[in-house]
Amino acid sequence: MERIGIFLCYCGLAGPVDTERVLHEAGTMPHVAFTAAYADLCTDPQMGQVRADIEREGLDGAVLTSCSPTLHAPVFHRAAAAAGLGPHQLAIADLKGQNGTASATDRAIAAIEDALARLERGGPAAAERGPVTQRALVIGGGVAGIRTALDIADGGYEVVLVERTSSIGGHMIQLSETFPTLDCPQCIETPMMVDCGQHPNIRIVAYSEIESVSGEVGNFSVRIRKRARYIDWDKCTGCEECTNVCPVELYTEFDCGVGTKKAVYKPFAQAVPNRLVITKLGTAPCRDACPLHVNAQGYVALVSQGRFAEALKLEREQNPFPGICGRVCTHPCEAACRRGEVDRPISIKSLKRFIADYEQEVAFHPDIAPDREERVAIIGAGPAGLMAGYELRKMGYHPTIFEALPFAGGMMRVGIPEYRLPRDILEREIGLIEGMGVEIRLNTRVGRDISFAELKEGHSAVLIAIGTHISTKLGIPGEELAGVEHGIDFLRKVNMGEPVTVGRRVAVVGGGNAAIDAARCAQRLGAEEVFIVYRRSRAEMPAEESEVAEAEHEGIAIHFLANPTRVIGEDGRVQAMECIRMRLGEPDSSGRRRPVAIEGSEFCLDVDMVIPAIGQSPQAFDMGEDIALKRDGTFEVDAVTLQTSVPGIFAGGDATTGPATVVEALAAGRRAAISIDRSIRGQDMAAGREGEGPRESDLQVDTRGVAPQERASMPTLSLAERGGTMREVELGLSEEEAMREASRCLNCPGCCECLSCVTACEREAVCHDMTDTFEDVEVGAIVVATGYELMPKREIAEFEEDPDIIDGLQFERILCPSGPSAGKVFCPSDGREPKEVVLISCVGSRDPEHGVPYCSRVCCMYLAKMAMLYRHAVHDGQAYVFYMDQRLTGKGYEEFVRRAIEEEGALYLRGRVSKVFRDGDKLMVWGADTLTGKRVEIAADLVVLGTAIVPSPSAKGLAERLGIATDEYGFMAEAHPKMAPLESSRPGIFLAGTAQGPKDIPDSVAQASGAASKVLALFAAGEPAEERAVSG
Amino acid sequence: MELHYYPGCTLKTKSKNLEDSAIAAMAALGVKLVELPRWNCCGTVYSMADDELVHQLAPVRNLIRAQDEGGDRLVTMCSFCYNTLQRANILVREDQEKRHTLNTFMEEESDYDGGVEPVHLLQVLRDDIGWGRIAEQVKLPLHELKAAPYYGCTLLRPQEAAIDSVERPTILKDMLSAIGADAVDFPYATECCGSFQVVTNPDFVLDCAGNILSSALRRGADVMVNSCPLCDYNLSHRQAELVKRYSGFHEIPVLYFTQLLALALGLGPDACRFDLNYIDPRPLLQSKGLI
Repeated sequence: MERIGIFLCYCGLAGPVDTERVLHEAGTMPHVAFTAAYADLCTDPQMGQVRADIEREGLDGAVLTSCSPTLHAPVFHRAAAAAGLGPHQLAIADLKGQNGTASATDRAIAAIEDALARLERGGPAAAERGPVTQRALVIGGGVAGIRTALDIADGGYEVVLVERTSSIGGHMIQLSETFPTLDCPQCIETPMMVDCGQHPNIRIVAYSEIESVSGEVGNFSVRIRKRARYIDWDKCTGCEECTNVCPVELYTEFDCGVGTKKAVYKPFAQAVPNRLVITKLGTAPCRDACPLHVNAQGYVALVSQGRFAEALKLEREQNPFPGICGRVCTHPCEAACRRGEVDRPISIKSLKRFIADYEQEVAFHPDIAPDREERVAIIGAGPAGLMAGYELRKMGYHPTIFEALPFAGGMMRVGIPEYRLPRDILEREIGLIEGMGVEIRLNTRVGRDISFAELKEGHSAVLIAIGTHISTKLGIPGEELAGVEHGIDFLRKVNMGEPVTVGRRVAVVGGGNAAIDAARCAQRLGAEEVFIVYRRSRAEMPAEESEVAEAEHEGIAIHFLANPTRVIGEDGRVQAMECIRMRLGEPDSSGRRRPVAIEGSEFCLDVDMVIPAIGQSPQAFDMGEDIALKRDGTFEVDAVTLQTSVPGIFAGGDATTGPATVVEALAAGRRAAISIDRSIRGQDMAAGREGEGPRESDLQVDTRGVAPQERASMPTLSLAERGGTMREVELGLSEEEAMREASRCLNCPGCCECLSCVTACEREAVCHDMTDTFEDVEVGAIVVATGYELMPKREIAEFEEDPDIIDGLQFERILCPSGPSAGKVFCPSDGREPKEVVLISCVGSRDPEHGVPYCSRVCCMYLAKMAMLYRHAVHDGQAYVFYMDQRLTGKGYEEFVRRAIEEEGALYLRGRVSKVFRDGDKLMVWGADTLTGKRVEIAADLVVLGTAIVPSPSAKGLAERLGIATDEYGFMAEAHPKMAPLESSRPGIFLAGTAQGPKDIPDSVAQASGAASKVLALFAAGEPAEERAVSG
Repeated sequence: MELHYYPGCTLKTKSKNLEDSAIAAMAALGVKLVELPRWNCCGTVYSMADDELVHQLAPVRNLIRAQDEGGDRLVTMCSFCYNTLQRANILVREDQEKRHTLNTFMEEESDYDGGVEPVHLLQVLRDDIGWGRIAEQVKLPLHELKAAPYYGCTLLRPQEAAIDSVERPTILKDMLSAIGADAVDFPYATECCGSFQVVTNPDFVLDCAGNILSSALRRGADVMVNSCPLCDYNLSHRQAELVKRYSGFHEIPVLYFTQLLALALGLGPDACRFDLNYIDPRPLLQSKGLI
């Protein structure tokens, strides 16, 4: 540009600007051919003058100074265009722009220089663009979004309405009645919602979020993430048969925690679309922690509903031994239970036992695949062997289990005493496996009754699951004396009913479950005094804590930090055991602190029997070939496939791990079965098995505000009844105890995957493995109507966390005739009717300390409305309202509040509340009445907080994806606070409702219609208004 | 670790039990408390008069003493002293003009610009030692003892002088938990005891004490735990009258937090100086098997 004109506006320069100097300086700038200053530059006559100057002087560029560039741009561009200048030949200098501490004159000069530089750079070449896509995207299905969508659709254009939750309606549909006319939203918003759902030009995409946006005004490409609903909405009819059978009750977003919903749910009856979704956040930590992935959450949920038979059926899908595991499992699930963060974990083991006992008669018919010819041999009928047999049978094989002993069950039969695991339970559950077609050959020891070579010859695969039935020796002098009976041998004799003589005073050595079992058996068999000697301290004891506690309860003393050094005998019989005191040193390879002997601290225990129970190893047998073993005699196997060093030979359970738990052996049995099946089929044995075995859960569970509840304690046999018998000690929970215990479950991931809904849905609409999908749409304009949230109560420290201190939306639900109590007002803590209700305004709002200096605009009115509605529902109730001042600027608002005070008896107290705390069944509210200057104390039943309106937490991310600005609090920023309240900072994206800032329903709806008219103007014009590319 | 500490007048007279138990307990935790030489009264109450700087001379002079000793922190045990010293120090730090006036007036002292941080002993326990390490050194966990932590005002107000959350403090409760006691939450934990109103309006203070103590009693507290000689006085000295005035009220021992700390660290009842408490806590502690 060679000839540029500079036009100054006097009024725009109002203030301490030296116009003469500005004009002078501007005249010396490069390519400037003309300067002029006019008063009121933007007026018609002056614009005519500018046009004349441009034409007369033959200018090819112009800089106009202005006070509000965004608002003046259209006027200036029109004048320039009339004089023949294109949009990139005009620049506007912003004279209100701040530029550090420079003087107003210097700022004006700098702004002109800046505008000149922009002219020199030139604008971008006008992008080739297609015609405007005449389809609009509305984000957010609250009342503002609905109004916008309807207005655009009524104008004849297509609308895609994206809603985050499963139904449109927004916060308005949660309200009880609306001020100042007291219409209920169910009456006034529902018709709009239905209209929206049926409108031929509107497509609602619910339960979805905006993933990304590209393009520009007129031609946006939008990617929508449709969150997995787990229900096929094309098939779903909204009948709620699934909800009726769902056992999981959850906190409800719609009822704000004062009502519950099922995991499969429709938020409210009038939902649009009238469809259901399943809340599914992942896998329950208890299920992940279980080596078998038994669906504990599922059966616990079913027990809570009294559906015991279904619970048992679900349990058995992963584990056919509920009666056994319900008694002896070490329950890693309970260690993972998140309820433990609140009080104590759910007693999952007791519940498992309860359903196994309660539903003894429930038939068990697992699905069995078509028969397969290949034969599989399993050595050992312990938990690993039985589980492998069960799994292989389900796959269609006919496995044979070879068992050396005259009983099946392995350590469950000959290791665990009868008082912990009654034989009828064991036999019944093993019988079910046999009933399926798993053959168990008792009294058949491989290597004696049948050779290993023979087994290999006749079978496609062999699983060695022989357990660890050989006791580790103490390796101290005197161990050969009569009266030393090793733990596993002792327990085997006792459990097989062989005659055993126990001493008078018995010392058991060791700290594992076998030691505890041996000690408790010895006592039952008549020993007068039994002690346990353990070399570490209580904290390091590997035995079950409850077992240790029971042993001590039965009078067994434990000598911690002591280790035997020799057994002293006379005439070949035990007379005493010499021990040495230990202390704990540095941690060893197992992570436990290594015990170190304290020299010279030997002491003697007077005993006539010693039972060492310090370790176990597998019994060697003649395998006829070289299968690799570890140093401790256990089998070396591949950790994933459990195959030994010889292909086709597998090993699992204690035989590979050393003595471990029943559930780990069961998991090994399953793992081996899968490997054996794959090896027979010639498939890759190791591929894709990462998910097997216990997993660390990363599920986020919010346990704040969960009230502690007592964990069910297991009833036990009294000491007198136990004496000398093998009667089962633990008696099991009663039906009521079990249901109450089960109802403590937090249902961490939402849905428990019991699959009751799948059965209940006749339309086969339930689909538990659904994943998120994406849809791309092309639109010409976008309206953001994403609404607000309330500031979380717990951010305000003056108020205790208490179920009866609630926020405005919670009280709306409590008052709502279609709410959780059908409009009967109640206290969430105990359901009673509140007689004194305190409503507090400006909680968090107008409070810079809490980060919200602004006024939330609706609280004065809705608290008055609540005081009124409360009085309508509870005639003898008293409502108190604490307020700072009343902001009642809407039509009919002042009159409304007067009515609440004068006709409905609400007591208004001007002052703030300093503290609310519980005192018995009342909430004490301390406040000030600043009109009388007195302190006020009210004993209330319910306290309602008018908490601040804040942007929804997801608004910031959405604004970033849309490329639009937010204000300092996170609300969507309008282009100009007064003159462009509907436009965002990005052309083609408009704002409606509380996404832009707190406002009431009338304002939201008006702004929604305004935003719609912006979209309609764009679509009707067919092209965007001239860009203000050079306006700055 | 060695720290300078400022006892203040009351700890040398009526509240020897606070000082003695604190020094003993801290020694057991490996902290030697060294008394500040030539200290004077803290000024008792922080003066909010804008134009009477003479009230700030006393606290600031103490801080100058600490600076002269080469410390950057000064430990207090009395909450009131803590408050006065802390707020005077904030004034010196933030108000250049008043700082100048004070320094000029005390020209015989070295210049002071707020470089010494007054801290309360509870902060040392929390921030320097840590609850975990204290718990490890507990020899006599105070299981079964229900102790109500009473903060009063001066540890927490105003906000800039607060050693913990103003609305929901936990520092005393955390200490009680660390030594194995059962800390009893009660709503009056941060309400004022009436403070020096006891001089001019004793009946008002009696009401304050009645409310605070009854609230703790209703929540099942066996003892009140505090850190301020004035609170201690107001809460303990007229309980006999409260017994007459309120039905169901019974006497409840009021203890300094340092006394329970010393007890839990196994220093024995003598080191705790229970003999100096107005309401003898020993029968109760005996019944709990703690002494």
